[in-house]
Amino acid sequence: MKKLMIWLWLLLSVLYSSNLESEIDRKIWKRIIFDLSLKEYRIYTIDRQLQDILCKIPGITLVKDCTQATLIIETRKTVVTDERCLEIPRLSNDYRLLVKNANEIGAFFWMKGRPTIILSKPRLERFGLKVDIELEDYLEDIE
Amino acid sequence: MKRVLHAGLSFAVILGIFQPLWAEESIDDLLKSYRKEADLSKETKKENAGFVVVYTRDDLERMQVYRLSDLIKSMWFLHYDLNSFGMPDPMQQNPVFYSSDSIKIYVNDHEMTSDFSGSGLLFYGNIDMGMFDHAEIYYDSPVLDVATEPAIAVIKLYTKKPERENGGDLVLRLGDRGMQEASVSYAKIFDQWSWYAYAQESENYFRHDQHLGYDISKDYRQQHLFFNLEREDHRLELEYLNQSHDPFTAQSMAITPKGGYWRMPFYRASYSGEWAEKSLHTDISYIHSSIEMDMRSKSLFWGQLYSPFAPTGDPANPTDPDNPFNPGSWIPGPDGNHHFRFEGSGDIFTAKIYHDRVWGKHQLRFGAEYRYKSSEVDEMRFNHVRNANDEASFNIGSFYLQDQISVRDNSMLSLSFKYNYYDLNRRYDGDSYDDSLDTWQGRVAYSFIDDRWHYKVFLTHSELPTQLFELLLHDAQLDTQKYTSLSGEAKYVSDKDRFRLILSGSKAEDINIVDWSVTHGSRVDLVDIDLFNAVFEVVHNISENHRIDFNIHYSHMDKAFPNANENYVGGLVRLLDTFDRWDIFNEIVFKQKTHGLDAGWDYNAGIKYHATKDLTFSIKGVNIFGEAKETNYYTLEMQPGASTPLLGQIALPVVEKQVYFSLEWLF
Repeated sequence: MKKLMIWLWLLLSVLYSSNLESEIDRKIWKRIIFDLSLKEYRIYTIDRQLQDILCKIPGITLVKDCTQATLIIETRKTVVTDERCLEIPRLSNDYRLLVKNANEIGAFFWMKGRPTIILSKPRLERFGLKVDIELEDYLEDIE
Repeated sequence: MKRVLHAGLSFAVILGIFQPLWAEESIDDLLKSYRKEADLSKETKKENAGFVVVYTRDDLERMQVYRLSDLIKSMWFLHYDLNSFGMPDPMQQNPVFYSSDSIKIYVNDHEMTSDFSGSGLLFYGNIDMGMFDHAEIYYDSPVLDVATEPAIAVIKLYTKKPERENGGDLVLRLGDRGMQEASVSYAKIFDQWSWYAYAQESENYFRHDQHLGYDISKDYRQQHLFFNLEREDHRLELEYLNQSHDPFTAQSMAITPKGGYWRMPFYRASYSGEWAEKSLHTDISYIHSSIEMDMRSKSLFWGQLYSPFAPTGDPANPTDPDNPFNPGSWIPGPDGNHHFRFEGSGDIFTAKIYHDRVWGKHQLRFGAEYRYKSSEVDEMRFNHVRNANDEASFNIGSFYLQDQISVRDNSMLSLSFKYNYYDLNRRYDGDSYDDSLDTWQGRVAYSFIDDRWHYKVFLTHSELPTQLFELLLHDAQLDTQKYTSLSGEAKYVSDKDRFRLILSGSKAEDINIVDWSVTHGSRVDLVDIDLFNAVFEVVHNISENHRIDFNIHYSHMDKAFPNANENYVGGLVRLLDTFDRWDIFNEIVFKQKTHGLDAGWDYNAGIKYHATKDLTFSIKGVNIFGEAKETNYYTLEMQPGASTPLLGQIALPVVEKQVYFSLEWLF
């Protein structure tokens, strides 16, 4: 009977937790990040909202110093300007940052009234990074 | 048996654990879900402001809402009617020029209004919806948070945000009878600034009905421009709208129009700003609009029944020196047709400021508003008789206070009070008729949320003053119509369903009712009406891509009027489906039989095909079976030799059977 209760509890908790997964933006960031062929997922961001999203993703380590990061995520209001970190690949939620900054490898942002993802093929190659097959549709030749 | 049970449970748990891997959504699906989740209506919707119906961007797109009237026609409690010039007027009492003054319309933070009616629906009721992101309709006297002036319903439209558009959109549309429309928009974002620009032009053709051999047309042409410039917490909006309409019934007494037009150009400049960490809000808006009407009719126009255009003296004694017979405006032109010409213009300036402050469990809002409304008649002519230049203006000052008190974690008490002072300056035939009026609005609201159950109760009082245009043209007195209502809402929300029941009892005092059965011109009666309204609504999400909406609404008045039953029922059923690249929508809007009119079954359907991410083709049918409810229009025929004219009415279709083909390209 005890075993039965444990199984039932496990079953219910799994079902309940899957219902709670309504934070779609977290799912999207998770997929973008893990689809990049980084050796480690040590991420630096100073955006509070992104920190809250990323800290809940198992496998991602949020670092407090950008020099320790393998990936930087920035927003229009939280651009990382530390010169020591200029050569670290970056993602953003802003198309303008993608266009302006040659170290931005991609962005998840709104365009034409819908959320979209763009990844720069030449910049990924420059950093020696590849993407999973599911993101290949989002690759563009942005130099 | 135990083993089988354990094995089964183990399989179920493993299935559950690995379900995210097996049933993992594609990135495309996730992006689509994100678009729905991040709908801007979640930021703008004010649950405590009244009973709200939200049309998200996804709804508007899947329902193929091209005109605001596509939404107005399914509004609760109201018939869908057009005024005698062919504009949406849900509360119409033809041949009164416009009757829906208590339905207000807003674009973002600014009211669309004109000096010619108390409601912007007069010119915005058929507005193209291409530049709007989402729409909210508030019922039951929303105050303070939502509307500047008292209202029984408020339609709020929100424009597309530049940072979400960040690109272009081209729409080409063709409809039957030669209807055509094109719109283009573009949005761009810079470091600090972003802008959104929109331009639209359409020619709209409908079936021409015949009455006594005269052609009744409500065709219209429209040009619409909009520009929005934003920087952080500041937004500037510029808008131009011009509509040129055929005369429809032309307010011709026997409905015998003989051509003509009416135009209504409209200009708006508005600014919204937020300061001090968004605690201080300022809105400024300037509107200039004008009306030009030029129409001919075989029969008299309704306006010719009133002074100074009605005949004076005794026709039996035409040369009486004390009271000579003066047929005045009743002598038609050489072609045998009566001619009506009107030109007028007006300005509205609105400034609002309010401050939000949190004090313990109190969320306080203090605000003050000022509105200047002026209206001027440059020319009003029936045949050869022309009136003097009349003008009127309102200075309206208001202040308000709102306190939202968190009673417990899940309940809130909201108290609000608004005081308005109306200062009227009126020049009529060169003489001054100044006046002033105080009005107030008050509201006590209590809301309680318990997990899946939401409850709201509102007690509201509002006072709607006589509209400026009526004061100018009809020599009316400055007075108020008063509404007091007690309403409640119970809502059950689950992952897939939303059930909602709304009950509302109201007392409306000193309502202007025009009794056209008195055939020597209109008689405006002030009446008190007791009203009871109820709505039951169900939204069931069958799955992520399939949804069914259903509502039924019931209204009871303690009096019946020629165009309104004592009891009235309406409702709708709507299905929204997505299959891969196809969006399909079906909708039936039902309106009950009323005096002299059959029940209406307005069936609308549409299919959208997303050929690529950026290219969409669609087809939509409106009132496909031609069974939508019609509207009654009064006629008054002068009988030669008879002492009283003959009052009649004819029914005309107001929702046309129409098919549209559209192409949308995003660039």
